[in-house]
Amino acid sequence: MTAPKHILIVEDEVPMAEALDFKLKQAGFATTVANDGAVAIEAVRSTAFDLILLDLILPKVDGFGVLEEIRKRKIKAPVLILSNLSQQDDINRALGMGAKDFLVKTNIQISDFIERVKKELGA
Amino acid sequence: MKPKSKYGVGQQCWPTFEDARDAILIADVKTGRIIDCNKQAEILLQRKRTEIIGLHQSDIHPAEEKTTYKKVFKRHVQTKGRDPFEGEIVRKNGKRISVEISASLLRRPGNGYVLQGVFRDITKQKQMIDEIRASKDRFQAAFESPAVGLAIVGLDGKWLQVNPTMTRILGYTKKQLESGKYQDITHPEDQEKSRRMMIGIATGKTNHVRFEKRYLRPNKTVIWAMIHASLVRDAQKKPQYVVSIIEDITNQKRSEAALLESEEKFRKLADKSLVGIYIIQDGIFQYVNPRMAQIFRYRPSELIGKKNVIDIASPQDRDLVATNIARRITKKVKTVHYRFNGQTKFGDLRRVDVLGSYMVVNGRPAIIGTLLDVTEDERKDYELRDRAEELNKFQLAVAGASDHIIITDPDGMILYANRAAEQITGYKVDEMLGKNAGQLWGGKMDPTYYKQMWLTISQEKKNFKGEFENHRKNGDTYTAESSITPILNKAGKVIFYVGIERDITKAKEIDRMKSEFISVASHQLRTPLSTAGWYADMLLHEDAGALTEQQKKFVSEISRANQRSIALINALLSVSRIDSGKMLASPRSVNLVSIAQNVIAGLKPLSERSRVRMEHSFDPKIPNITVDPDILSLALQNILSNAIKYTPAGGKVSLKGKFCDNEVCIEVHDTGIGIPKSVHDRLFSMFFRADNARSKDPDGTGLGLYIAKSAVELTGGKIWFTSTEGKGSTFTFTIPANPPKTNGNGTMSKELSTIL
Repeated sequence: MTAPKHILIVEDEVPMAEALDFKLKQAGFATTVANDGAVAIEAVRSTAFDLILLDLILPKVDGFGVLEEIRKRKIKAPVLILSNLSQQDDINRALGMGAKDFLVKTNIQISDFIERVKKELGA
Repeated sequence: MKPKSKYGVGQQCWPTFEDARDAILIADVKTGRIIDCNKQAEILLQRKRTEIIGLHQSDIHPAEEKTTYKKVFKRHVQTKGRDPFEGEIVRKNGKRISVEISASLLRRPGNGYVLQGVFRDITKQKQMIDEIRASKDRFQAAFESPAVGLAIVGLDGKWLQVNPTMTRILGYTKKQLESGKYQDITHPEDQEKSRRMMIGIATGKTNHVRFEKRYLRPNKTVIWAMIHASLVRDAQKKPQYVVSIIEDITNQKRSEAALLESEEKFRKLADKSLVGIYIIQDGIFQYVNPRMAQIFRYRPSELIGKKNVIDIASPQDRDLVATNIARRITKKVKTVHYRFNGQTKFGDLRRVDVLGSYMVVNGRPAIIGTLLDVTEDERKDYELRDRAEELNKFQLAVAGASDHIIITDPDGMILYANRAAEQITGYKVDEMLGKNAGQLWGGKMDPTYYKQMWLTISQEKKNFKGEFENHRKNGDTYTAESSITPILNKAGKVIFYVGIERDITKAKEIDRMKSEFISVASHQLRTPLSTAGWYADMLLHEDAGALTEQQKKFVSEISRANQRSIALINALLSVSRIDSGKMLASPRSVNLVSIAQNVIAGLKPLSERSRVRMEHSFDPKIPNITVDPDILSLALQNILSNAIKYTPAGGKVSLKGKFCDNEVCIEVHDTGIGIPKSVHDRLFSMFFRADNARSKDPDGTGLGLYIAKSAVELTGGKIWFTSTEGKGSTFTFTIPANPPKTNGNGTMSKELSTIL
């Protein structure tokens, strides 16, 4: 039996982080939650994740800062942006910095989002 | 009976010797002694023949003349007599008698020569001659008088005698004149006239003529003369000669000609003058030139001698005119210059400028003046003043405008800059004049942008609108919204440019902040909504355990309300962005078909839920169009979702994409509930919802069509619809294949919201 895929959840909104943590664990993934950008950077430095879910508006270091770090460290794990920012230049910027996809929280139900993650990890 | 002569000399030479009418004395040439005489000689000398014979020829002449007569006798002997001559004899009583003596040398047969003298008593003739001479002298005195030129002219025209004045007048010497005829020096043009006059006189038709003629002087100058010619006849009334009195009237003629000429000149001047000229006497026009009459719409004949001056003044200016005339007539002032309102024959007003002067005409006071119609001039003056005032207003407005305004020459050199230009750029006007904006605050952007601008204003000669990133004198960057307009002359050539700039740095900053606010607000509002949504979703997925049917229904209501809230917030954010002008597009070349298919795909869940069939077809000729894909999607999404929402289950929504006239035309037809006629004109209004729409979908925001219309119009397109209530609707919108140029090049592009 292989080890479960390890997902980093970067989300400052605690109920959301908890919902994601709950659903992903339910789906059989291992999770680590980071509630701000600084913790997230710390996490990606120490741990190799299979997938990173990244919010953009975060305390301390914002999502773009985290993306910058990920790019710097040449981390291969796909990054899905899950944010309520929806302006085109934010989207372009994030995708330009290496994010795999950009999903708007209000536009997607959590169960649909879990399906998207599963698909990404080939589960 | 023949007179007996002692010596038979008389008888021999002249048988009528004794009876001759003249006295005949015969003297011996050698002795000079008288040897015979006739009876008349006795009578002439008042001596007996016997007394006479034996006297020396000189004894019969005055004693003091004896020597002279002896010499004359000798000369006569030598010349054989002939020439009669005047002499004197002395009678016995001492009385002297004038005689005409003619001597002739005669041969005495066989005894040499005698001199015969024939003596005629000419005392009477002498007396007559003396009398004549006396009168002639008197005449001569008159004749020689310098007052007038006098000439005696023969009937053939020969100058018989001229006086010194005459020679002075004509310029020829007496000798020159008296050797020729008057015709010789008569002016060619006056020859005929002179001839006629002379014939008139010479034939006795008239005794006296008076006429003017010209003579040519030796120096070829012309003199004018007045001729008074009188015929002189002899005792038999036969015309003898002509006496002419000649007056030099050259100067008179010259001044007459000059006068005529100057009168002619002034008459012409007056007739052609653009200035009215008049003479007033006794308040009545004595003279007006044509212009004067014309100004007041009269003919000169209607004014002269008929109209009073105040007839041509407007009623309110009559006192003024009358006073000014009185002032001049009474010589209180010699010249008056003023303006008054005149009145034409037809009652319309003319503004006139008058300069009148006092003068005397026919010994009585009068006014001569000139009058100018200044109606037009004054009107122009007023117009000019008005215009100047207006211009001044404009200048003040431009100078004080809050926008930066500059005027440049066709090369872009600054000719004028207002105060705002100083405030905005930080340069003083003096620093700007003669420079190009590029040397001051401009020139910091992509050269192609400036090239485009110059192309527009100098080649296309059109207004250019655009945003410029400029630098103030202190180096700060500012954003200017500019409008540059070429000003053309009549020939269509650019004479200068007017540039108006507004510093929109602050407005841009505010916009940026607003945009940020909207972004943050959308984030902050949506985060709790999505959290609530997610938990409702988890409940419905029974992540927290199985739900009863009632629990499921309740959670579904929460989820539906949550979705509604999210939809409303998204729509409001779209509106806010469109309205604040933030949805400035990033047009790029896109494929309409793929965009439309994406939108349709996104709406598939909705259409399936609503059990509405969707069809689409696209004209293969549709090219790639230059448009912001998000705007296009926004419009499509709102129209299509509306069509689905308001079509009952089993209905159909069809989309057709066409291409014509360089624009793409999208037609969305549905078999839905339709739109009541009464609300057609309000349909695109914000928050408006038709009653039938409300009952069909109570959750609608009333913003969909407003957003669709705003989005279409942002692309430069148009949107409209046709609908029949109960049958369905067709919404059509167009998108230009190429974006309108109003945004200049792409520098104004801006991030686009896709809050959906």
